[in-house]
Amino acid sequence: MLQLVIGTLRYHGGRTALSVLALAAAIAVMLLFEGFRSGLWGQLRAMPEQLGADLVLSQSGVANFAAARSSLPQKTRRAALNVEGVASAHALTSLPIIFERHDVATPVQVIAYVDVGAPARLAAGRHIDGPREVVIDRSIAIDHALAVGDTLEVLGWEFEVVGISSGTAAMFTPAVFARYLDLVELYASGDLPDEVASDTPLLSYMLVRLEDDAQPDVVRDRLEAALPWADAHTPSELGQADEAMGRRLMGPVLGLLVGLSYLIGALVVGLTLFGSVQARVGDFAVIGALGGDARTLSAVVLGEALGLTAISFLVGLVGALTGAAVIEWIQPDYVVSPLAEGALPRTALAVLLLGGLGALWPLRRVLSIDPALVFKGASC
Amino acid sequence: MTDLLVADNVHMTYGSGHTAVHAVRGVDLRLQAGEIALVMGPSGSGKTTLLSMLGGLLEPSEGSVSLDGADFYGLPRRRRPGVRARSLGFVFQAFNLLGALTAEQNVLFPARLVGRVGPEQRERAASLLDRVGLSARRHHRPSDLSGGEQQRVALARALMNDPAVILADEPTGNLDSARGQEVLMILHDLARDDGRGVLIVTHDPRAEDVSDRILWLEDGELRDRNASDVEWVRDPICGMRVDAKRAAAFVDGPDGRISFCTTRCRERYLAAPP
Amino acid sequence: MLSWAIRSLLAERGALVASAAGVGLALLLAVVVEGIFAGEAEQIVAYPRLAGADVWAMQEGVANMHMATSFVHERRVDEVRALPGVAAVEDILYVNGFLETAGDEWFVYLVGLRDGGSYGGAWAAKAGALRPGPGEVVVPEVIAKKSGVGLGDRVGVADEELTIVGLSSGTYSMANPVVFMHRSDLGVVLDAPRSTSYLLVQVDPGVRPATVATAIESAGLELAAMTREDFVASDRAMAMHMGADVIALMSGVGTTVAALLVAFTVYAGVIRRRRELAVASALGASPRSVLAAVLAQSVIVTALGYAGAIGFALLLRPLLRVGLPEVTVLFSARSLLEFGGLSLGVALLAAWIPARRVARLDPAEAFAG
Repeated sequence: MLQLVIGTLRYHGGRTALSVLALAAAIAVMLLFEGFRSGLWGQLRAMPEQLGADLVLSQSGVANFAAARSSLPQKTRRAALNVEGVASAHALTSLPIIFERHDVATPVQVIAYVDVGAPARLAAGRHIDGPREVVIDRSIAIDHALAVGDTLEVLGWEFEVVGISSGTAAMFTPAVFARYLDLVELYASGDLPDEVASDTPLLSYMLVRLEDDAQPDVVRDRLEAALPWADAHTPSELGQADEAMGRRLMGPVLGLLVGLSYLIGALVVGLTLFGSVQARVGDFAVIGALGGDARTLSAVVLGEALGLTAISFLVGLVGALTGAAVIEWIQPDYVVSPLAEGALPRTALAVLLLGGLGALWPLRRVLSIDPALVFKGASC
Repeated sequence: MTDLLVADNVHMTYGSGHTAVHAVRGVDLRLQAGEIALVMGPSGSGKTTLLSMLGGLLEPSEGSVSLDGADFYGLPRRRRPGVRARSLGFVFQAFNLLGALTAEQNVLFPARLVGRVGPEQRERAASLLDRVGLSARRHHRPSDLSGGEQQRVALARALMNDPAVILADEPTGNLDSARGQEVLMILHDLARDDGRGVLIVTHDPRAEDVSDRILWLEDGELRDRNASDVEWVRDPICGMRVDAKRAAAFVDGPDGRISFCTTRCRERYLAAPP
Repeated sequence: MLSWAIRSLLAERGALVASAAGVGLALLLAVVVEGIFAGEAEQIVAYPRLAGADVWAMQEGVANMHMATSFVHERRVDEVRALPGVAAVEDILYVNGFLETAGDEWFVYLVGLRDGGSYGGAWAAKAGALRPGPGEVVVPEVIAKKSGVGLGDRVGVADEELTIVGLSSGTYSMANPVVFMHRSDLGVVLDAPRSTSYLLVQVDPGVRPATVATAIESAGLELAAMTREDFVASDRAMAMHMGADVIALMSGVGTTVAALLVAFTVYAGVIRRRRELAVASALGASPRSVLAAVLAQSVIVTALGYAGAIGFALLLRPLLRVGLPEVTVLFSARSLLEFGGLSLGVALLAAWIPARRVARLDPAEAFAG
């Protein structure tokens, strides 16, 4: 029967192609919507995780990096360095502002750091190594038509763009990396714009690197004991907290959209396979008349459905990956990950289940052959 | 002579009560080895219904159908396809070849249905295609074959599992004169040379010349057209052949009864007698 | 030919239902995703839209609430109140921060209200009070439901513990749920006892808000002022970055796929009816009438699918309100009409190509086996 299944799919090439396109489109939607969701969670997790620290100190009670307001006293660094197991401590200020250029306004996160805290991945240029230099996230570069070597105004001062980073958007807010000393100078100069100056912590987080043989859990307890105004987190804990916050806010909406795409996509799969089998009921009547039993007929129907679905899945996957790349190119704020977090097996299961149902429904008719189909010029 | 196919008091009734339609009424039929029988009759007479029942595709409301001595509809439903595949060969008016398969693959298809496809079956398929003169076309798909060629492939397919009985539904209906004759001769040889029982449902008058028996199905009832209870005469107005014993209209004249196919012909006759 | 076209469609009910269902499902996805996008885009600016202000005044250089901070001296309140055309001024203290409820943390807008104000707070409550007193808080009912807290329970803001006295309605969005607290409590959190953030200005009857906004900006008070419409638009543009753009992208994907599926379904339907159209040609139907019949059938199938999609979408909304209150869905007549136009256009285009071929069919095909 495999010969018949393959032969049929090839022989009715046009119809097979149309069915594959429809199925692939439905599958691609499922994967893309999953990809949007996974990409968002991944982005939220990634930002703190790429800070380059072993532990991160925040204001007591603050457990997030994204969208959080953490303010530490300046004595934090010295106090941290006095804790056994700490090799170095590096100040970091995280500051939300509205960046505006040529009437285009974008909420951004200014991240001012010392040595540790630079972006993990650069799409162009280099890291900061001098005063009045910034590295900007790729989405800012695209939205504001900026390139390496351009100058821009941040917090009232002019900076030169020396690098463009990727994967540096937390809570949908892309980052601008600056030197911590520049921020201190700006603050001390009084040039900081009023709307920022009124609410600017000079020190948000302390990035701590541990000695080689130090145990993170032990050092963490020591830090919290020695610095009662601060909490110590691993970067991955911060990332997970940010992800949890994002899931709490956007999880229901995205879950609904993903669920809808599954339901509708799978129904489309079922409907398409139904149509495909229905169109060939005449063939199946002939096979039945010639002596094909229920098992044979089921094998042919399901074989064709499975063949179509398998081809469509591959095409749909390629479509989803291509779509993801196009979306990320158009909107670099977002990461679309169709393959992440079990999306593939989930989609495959949904497609198989509802596709199988769609194919089996007309099989019921096929199994109770109407002889008239055979004798009245059934078209093969 | 062995009875290969026996229909015993077979009825098919659709619906019930005052809306019941009796498509086939009390048909008795025996098809013997080496015999060609024709079933002829007007449209709507129940030929397709009868053929469906004889072919194991439609269970009669009443009566039985036996293949090689075994009551077909007495078998469990799941065993019927296998019996059909082994004991019956079908030839259809519309050929009904599987378009995705080549001629050779179409011929082999019934063998796959009974699970046997090996060198022996392939050799047999090649031999069958040779017998119908289509060896050179064995790798072609139905869409590449003419109507006559397709029907010959269908004949070869019908013989693949060496069935005792061949059922042909209007086998020449979609063919031109020459191709139709070819097909009829093949069917003739299947009965004469192979000893199979061949039942042909047809309107083609040429089939009468190669058949042993002509059965007339009208209003669901089967009569042997050669039997004495039929008296064939010609309608003087339209020239159609009419059974005088069952004519729809007639006129008793000085020279005897004149039978007509319909009251309309009778009225025309009465209006202007020749 | 038209009546034949319709009868022919109706004669194959199963195929008609399947085709219409295919179109309908595709459109349903696009319509609902767009509805969610529209709903969230409105909900994201619910507070500035519905807080009751005609004009918003704030620190110079600030033009929205989202991700912004605004601090002005509280004496500006009386100074603005004294300007011509101003009927009333309520001021709020504002910051975005975190609300802790039963172990969950929620990113929220924190709005500090004075005693006795008549607007600027929650505009509707599912239960309890609209405005909190000291030590009290009004939280969105959705947050309360999701966290399993209610009136009388304690929640955390910064290091403060406050008692829930009200559950507000319409104040939840995926980007910025709004929590109301007493300004004295928020002032402690922000360490800003003499500051306020935004001035919510109501204008006298017959006075244009734009006029008052200009007057505020010209009064030398170092304030920025915008009409409600302008402020909402500005805030929406910022807030859209908080994920609503993702939904816009998903909406785009959904619409594109919907168009593809509509095209496929219609195209396949025309191909399936090819032979009977050849028969019609053989019987004497002109190519034009055959084409018209095909297009008519495609329009009917698409219209049925569209009607089904809209019907289901409208049914879905009340179900979502009950089952998933965090999600706001908004179907506007305009967007529904746009979808109708899109699906019709796609269907006609998808039918046109095979229809033209069919219209030129050799009628002899009618006699082919």
